[in-house]
Parts: sequence; structure tokens; C-alpha cells
Amino acid sequence: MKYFQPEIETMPLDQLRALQSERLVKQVRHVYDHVPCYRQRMDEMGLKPEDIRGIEDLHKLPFLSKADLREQYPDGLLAVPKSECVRIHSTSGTTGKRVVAFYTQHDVDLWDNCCARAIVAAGGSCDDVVQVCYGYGLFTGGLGLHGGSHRVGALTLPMSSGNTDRQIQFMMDLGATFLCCTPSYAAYLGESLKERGYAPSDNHLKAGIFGAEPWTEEMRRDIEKNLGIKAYDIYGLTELSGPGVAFECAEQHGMHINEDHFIAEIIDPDTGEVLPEGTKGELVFTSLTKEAFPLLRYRTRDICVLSREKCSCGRTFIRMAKPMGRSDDMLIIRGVNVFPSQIETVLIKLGYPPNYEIEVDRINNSDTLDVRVEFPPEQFDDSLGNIAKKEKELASAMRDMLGIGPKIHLVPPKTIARSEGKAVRVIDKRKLI
Amino acid sequence: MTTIKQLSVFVQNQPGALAAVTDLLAKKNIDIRALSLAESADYGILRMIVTDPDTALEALQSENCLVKLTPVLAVVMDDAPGGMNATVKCLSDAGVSIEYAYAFILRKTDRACVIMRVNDLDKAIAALNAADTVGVLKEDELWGL
Repeated sequence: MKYFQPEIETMPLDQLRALQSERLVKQVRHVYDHVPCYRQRMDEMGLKPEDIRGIEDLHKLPFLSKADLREQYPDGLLAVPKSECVRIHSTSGTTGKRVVAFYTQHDVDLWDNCCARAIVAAGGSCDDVVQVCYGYGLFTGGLGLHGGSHRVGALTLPMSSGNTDRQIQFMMDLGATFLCCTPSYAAYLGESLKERGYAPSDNHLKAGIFGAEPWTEEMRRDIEKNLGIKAYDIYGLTELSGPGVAFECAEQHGMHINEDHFIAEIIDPDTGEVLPEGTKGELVFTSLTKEAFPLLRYRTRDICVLSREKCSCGRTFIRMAKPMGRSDDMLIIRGVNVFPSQIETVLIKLGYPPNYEIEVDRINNSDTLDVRVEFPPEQFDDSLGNIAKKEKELASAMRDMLGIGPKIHLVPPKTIARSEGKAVRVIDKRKLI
Repeated sequence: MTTIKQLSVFVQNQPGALAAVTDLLAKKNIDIRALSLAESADYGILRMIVTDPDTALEALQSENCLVKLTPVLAVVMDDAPGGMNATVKCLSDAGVSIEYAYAFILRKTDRACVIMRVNDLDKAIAALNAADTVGVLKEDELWGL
């Protein structure tokens, strides 16, 4: 099985565009009729639902931002009566007030289908044993992949996050073939297996679907080597449903966006102007089919590039590159944009484990950047001079990558906390407000 | 082997880091016969000669310590004026440079012992063994003194 829904995933482009247009017209009407704050916005612009006749009119619609969503907390954007909803999920709220997303049964079904497409694209089928160690609960990771795995008909292990000993026991005893978790937890599991004396060939895993946090190509290779699997990326936002908005195919070259459910645009984050395909900018999504929480032109703050280039997997869905980082993760240090993923890239390239901690502070009105890195035991050689040399090497490689020089602190192995969910890597001590 | 196994442990400069190491050695009933602590801004290297280096290594590794066994020389010399001078001269004449060293006095004799890490072990051993008043100890000899 190569596709979960072949007729949709390989739909000719003109048909796909026609389907999107038809759904957009319907969705704009639905939102206008049922979401007072969005109607008010359209009214203020003098825009009527009938002005949107197809995807060519999409650019006329106003944007929604995360701030808008927070303002409408908890249910200001709900577009159906609560009695028709069957579930909520919520963002972690680490960068502010939580956002609550509502789902009707139809919304859950379409989300499950999106995740099922991701699992099948990664080579999964009903013969697989899918170990889901994303957190279950308000977080969309666990129940999203869980639903997708059910839809595929795979045997689903609803492990949720944490309890690494139990994860490993079930992985081995039940012969898990698929692993779904955050990339940092996948890396941690690989390390834990090694520690317990397992070789990559000892497990039955063949593939993993990892998302919910930014990760690098280097980290992918590391995970693939340590677990003996193919590692696939998956993209999503709670605001849009959860994981499965976009997924990787066997090509591992960009994530196919489920365009029958979501329209993607790239805009200039400063001017809001729509940019041509292939240009780097902020990713904006319009949800075409969701009933309960239908967002039009939602600004993700993810910086990314789209490509319509033909994919050899046969899917016609547009591909998005791995986001260069969510602007939530981006740090501005001494006026320079820094993404933690850049630091990770340098570490893996120089043979260090991707466990690190970034501390940003402001001392005497100047930003400081300190990076704590774990010292790989095999590199320790009883010489203070060599340790200083290694710190200098790392600092200089990071200066080349980031444009600003950090202070490196090598620390003993295992002293940086391992994450069982989303990794917390940044401590920003600056009080800028 | 005429070299001695030294334990080299990476320790962070923070209260408790050193205690974690010494506590573990105490629990394992391992005696520290000599030690030195080299430091820089954030961390130091604790270098020790202990009674059972292999057990100590294993114990420290299991606690996630950054630790390594390093071959060093235990050089014996007269505990008298000129004793160290004879040793250093012997090595410098042979073109060997000393990377670090720390000394202790042997209990039952009038000899002193200096633990040394040098840049050329073979050359250093040959030169020291050829000298009259100095010598290189083997591990069992060290504990016999």
C-alpha cells in the first residue's frame, strides 16, 4: 500500500484546485455565518462571502494571528454549537495563553485520515505495530497519531510519553515496527537502548514519524543510525487539527501538505504580501473542511519554503520544506536571529550529542549567549588544554553558523535533562519588558 | 608495565562535584594515595592515584562521571635536597618534557615519589632507569612502599 487515499493524494492539479475552490467558497460562507468576530472583520473591509469565488480570491481575506486566537479564548471562534463537538485539544500555552481547538466527529475523522496518510506514506500498513509515545491528552500528538494508526488498521500501542523502561519493554516484547514521538525523545530512546546493550538491529522498528518540534537533517541521520530505521517528519498545529497537516513520503524531501483540507500560502511576514512559490516566508494556512474550528488564513509564524515540483512518489500535493524554526523558537540575540536548530546542526557535525541548553542573559546592556554541551566520554583525554581547545572549536563553528559567538561550557555526560516530550532547550533570563 | 594507572576525572566547578567523586571512592573502600586538582574557569580535572583504579573507573562511569585512566610515571627519588633536581635534569637531558607532576612522600622510606605525565613515556623510562638516584616504580612496587 503506497497511498492511504490514492484518488485524493494523486489527484491531478486542476481537479485539486477546483476542489479547493469549491470547498473554500463553502467554508468562507460557514465562517461568515457562524463566527461573529470574523464576520465583523470582513464587514469592516467591505468584504462579502460572495466576493470569494475561488482560491484566486483567497488573498482578499483578512489574516488570523495567534493573538486573535488568544483573544477569542476559549470559544470565540467556535463555528458550530458545542453540542455538535466531540472533543477539544489545546496548545501547551508555554508562550502565552492557551488556544483551545474544538472538533466535531467529522473533524476528528478528517484528522485521522491525514495521520493515516502520513503512516502509509512512511511505509505503514495494517500489519504494523505502532508505538505512540507522544503525550496523550490535550496535546494533539498522542491522539492524532493514535487515530491515524487505528484508521490504517495497525496494532496501536498507546504508550503516551515518559517511562522509558516501559517504552523499551513494550517495544521489544510486542515487536513495535513504527515509532511516533518527538525527535528529541526518539534520540533519547536510541541512547537508552544502547545503554541497555541493544544494537540497532535488535529492535523490530522500521520507521518512525517524528514531529512537534524543530529538528535538523543531522539529527534525522543520527536517529536513523541509532534506531536502525527511516525517520520521517510530520507537521501540524493544534490550531489546524494537529499533526498530519503535512507529512513526508519515502523521498524524505519536503512534507506533502494535505491540500484537500488545507491551503498553504507563503507571505512576507512584515507586509503580509503573498510571495511566489519557492520564496522563503511565513506559512499561512486556510482550513477548508473543518467544521468546529475553521481558521481562514491563519499565520503560523513558521518560516518556510513551498515547492510544487513534481515528487517521484506520485503525490500531487505541494511540499513544504522543514520550517527553519517557528518564530516562537527564534531568539534575537544582539540583534541577530538565532534558531536553536542551528546550534544543534553544529553539535552533530562536530560529533557531540544533540543535548544542549542555551542560556541568554543581558549583562551591562549586552546580550550574552551561553551554550552548555555534553562532553562525549570518548573525547575526554585528561588534558585541560584539549578541553579548552574543544570549547574554542565549538564556539568558532557556532560563530560561523549564527553570526554571533557563544560561550561554550562542556559539561559531563547526562547532566542536561532529557526530554520525554518537547525539549526545553532555551533559558532566556533577559527581562526585556 | 612501568607506568601507573592514574584516574583523571572531569569535575565542574561547583559545590558538591568533588564530593560526589570522593564519596563514591569512600563507599567502594578505595584509598586515594595521591591527588592533584587542576582548574580552569568552569571545570577542573581531578587526577588521582588510587588503590584499585579499575574498580574506581567502573564505579565512576556507572555514575555518569567523565573519567579516564591515564598512564603516568611514578618516579622515586631521594627525599633530600637535590632529589627533584636530579630527576628533572635526567628528563631534560633526554629531551623529555613534563606535562604535569605532583609529589608525595613515601611513608616507610626516605624517598619521595613524583607522579608525572610526560610527552614521551619510553624515552622517559629509559632515561630514569639509567640514572643512579632515581627510578620508575611499577604499580605493585608503589603499594609496597
